[in-house]
Amino acid sequence: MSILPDELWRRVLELGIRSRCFTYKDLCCISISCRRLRRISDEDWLWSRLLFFDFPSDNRDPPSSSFPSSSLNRSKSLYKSRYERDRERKFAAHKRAVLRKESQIAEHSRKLRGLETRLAEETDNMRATISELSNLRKVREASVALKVWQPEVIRGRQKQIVEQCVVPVESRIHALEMELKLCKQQILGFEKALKDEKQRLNIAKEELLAVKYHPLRDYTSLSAGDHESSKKKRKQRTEKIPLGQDSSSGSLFI
Amino acid sequence: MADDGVNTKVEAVSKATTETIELRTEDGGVFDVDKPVAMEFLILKSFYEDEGRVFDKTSIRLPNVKQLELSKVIEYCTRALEFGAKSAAAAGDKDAERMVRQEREGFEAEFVDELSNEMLKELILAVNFLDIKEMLDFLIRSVANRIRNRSVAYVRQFFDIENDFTPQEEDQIHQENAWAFEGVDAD
Repeated sequence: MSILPDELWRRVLELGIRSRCFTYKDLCCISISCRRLRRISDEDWLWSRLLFFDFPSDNRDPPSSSFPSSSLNRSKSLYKSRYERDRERKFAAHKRAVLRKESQIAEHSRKLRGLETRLAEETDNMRATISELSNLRKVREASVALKVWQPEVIRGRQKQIVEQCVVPVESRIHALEMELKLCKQQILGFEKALKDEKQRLNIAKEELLAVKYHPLRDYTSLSAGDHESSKKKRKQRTEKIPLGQDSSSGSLFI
Repeated sequence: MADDGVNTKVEAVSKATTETIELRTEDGGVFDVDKPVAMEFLILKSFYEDEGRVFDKTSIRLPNVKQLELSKVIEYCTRALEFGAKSAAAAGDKDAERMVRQEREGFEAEFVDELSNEMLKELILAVNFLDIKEMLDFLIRSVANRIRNRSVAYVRQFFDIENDFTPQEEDQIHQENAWAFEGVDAD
């Protein structure tokens, strides 16, 4: 019904740009709507103002007059090429950031694996030490027991134990006890390092997600992701049901 | 017929007996407007000042303005003058100045919220005709706010614009402007 004259439209666009309310996108939208608006919104003075705001590094002087200049649309195409160049730069920087994060994650994972290996080795070491220690303690007990009177049957057995042992018992026990202490210390150290490294890995993974975040893409993958995780949950539930004999833990639930 | 609601409002605001002027709208509305408010309409101001007329209770016809718009204009200008006075009174006191500013912003937000798109456009035309600079800027800024970040369809519908491009032209224009809408960026 009511039509705004050109002059008022120019004022809308000018104020919109000056108050940073409009972006290049809005101007393009307006340009697409009809002939008259295309003419008005493509005008040079508008786009050179936008250029000045968005890409100020070119040391341009702010456009002073609000005169609609000739229909060359020079400023608009200049804006477009600056924008595209900028977008390429942003895209490349984004890619680099993603790659950096991914290599950090790989590094953390590698360290984690190394720690886990060493932890396993040390644990095995500890088990062997404990086992040897317990044997040697038996020998020590036996040799102590031999010093008092005992039934011949038992005595015989104890003599056997003592004779079978080829190493100097006391010193070996002492050494093993020190070894055990060391193992335990090492294991504690590894466990702590593992915990820290895991934390660092998780942080890096979260940061990667944040860097990769794209509102539109993630909306569709989120719904698929939900489907995935709910499928997983259902699977876990069905696996847990036969609780009667849990062979992996070697115990029986009554 | 006179819009009694507006009249009593306008008269209640100016308790002192200020001079008033009678304005007639295109659709037969009659408004008694206080002089300070009326002088915000530069079209009236120049009418009185240039011609050196005496400000008497003559009746002025406003051919391009309707009742509804004029009452809104009067409402805005009256409040704007009030805020102006409050601001001046609060000068120097930062807290009071801030309060006045917030009050004004609240009023303006509510004022413009109640306007339909159609009403907003009509008001702009009326205010443009009456030549009220401050209100015009305010309305124009509101329009800009309403169409920012919207689709082409919305802009067309908002301004009752017809797409007068031929299909080929439309193709060409879409291509020309496509760069602005490629959504790869993470702003």
